[in-house]
Amino acid sequence: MLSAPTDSGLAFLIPDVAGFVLEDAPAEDVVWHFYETRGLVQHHQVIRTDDGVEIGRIVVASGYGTVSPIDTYVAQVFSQGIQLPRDDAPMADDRTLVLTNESRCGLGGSRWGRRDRRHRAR
Amino acid sequence: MAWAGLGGAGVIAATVPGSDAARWAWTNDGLLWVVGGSLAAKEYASAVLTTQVGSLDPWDQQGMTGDLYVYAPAIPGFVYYDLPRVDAIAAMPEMLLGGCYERYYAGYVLPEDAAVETSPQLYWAIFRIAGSCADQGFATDVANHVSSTPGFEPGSIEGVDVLRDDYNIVALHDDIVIHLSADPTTFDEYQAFVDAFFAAQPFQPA
Repeated sequence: MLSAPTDSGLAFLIPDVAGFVLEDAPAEDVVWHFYETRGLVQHHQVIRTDDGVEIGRIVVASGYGTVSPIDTYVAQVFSQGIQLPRDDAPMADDRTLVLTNESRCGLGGSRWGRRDRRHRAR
Repeated sequence: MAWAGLGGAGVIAATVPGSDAARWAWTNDGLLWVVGGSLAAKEYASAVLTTQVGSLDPWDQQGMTGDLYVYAPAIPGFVYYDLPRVDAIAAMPEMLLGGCYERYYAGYVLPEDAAVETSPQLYWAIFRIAGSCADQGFATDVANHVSSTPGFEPGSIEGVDVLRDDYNIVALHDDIVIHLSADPTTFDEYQAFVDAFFAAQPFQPA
């Protein structure tokens, strides 16, 4: 999939929150990949403050058939960890550089890892 | 990354010390909700949760328990009571495994004829060690930590290896950790339950 997934049925369920607005991710966005949970129907949007500052993303997801979306999420993130996008910037070769920090589980948080990674995606 | 409480909900919080990047994920009404970005997104996640938490059943564990109920087998003469979600969340910081679990189920048990409002005396907590922690030998770390704690001795209950002191019984099987806690008098009173509990564990030979 080349652009962030959207689903009108899931979008309808997102409540309005005062002080924030949602908008679709731009066509060239690559950050949405870092929020993807494989195997689920997903609706992905950008969260901005009222004055236009992007603060993050929201994803609402459902499972196919009897698939539990939280079970799917747990199975993926607790075994693999999560890459948390920290910053992104376009590069001269038409790719996008995304800086991430890795979050993994650990004893009382004391083993939480911090590792900068650079991802390039078209 | 670990289960945590946010606005009365059970969420999977992913943060990194020293970084502004974070993510919160939870389930509500059969859907997965994920909010992430900068730490400023926490205000948005909390606001969304505010619209949902009020309609949650107090015992809705929001995916924390998974299938761990199979390790709380039906024992004739006794009834399991789940902790309400807010109490289960509040107990998290005290838990044996720190934040290194992907499923968590906690409650207490009472004799079948005890009044529902009877104060809990024997608590149980069941965990599945997080996959990435298990891969790094975390179960062994837990066993070493518990067995090196003053007062704990190895033992066996109905063929299940346990570590116990006067107030705790801990059993590890693969990625499952079972922790019973009570005062010594209660453990004596609930001896029949404890024996039957371990005898009926699904990892016992058929």
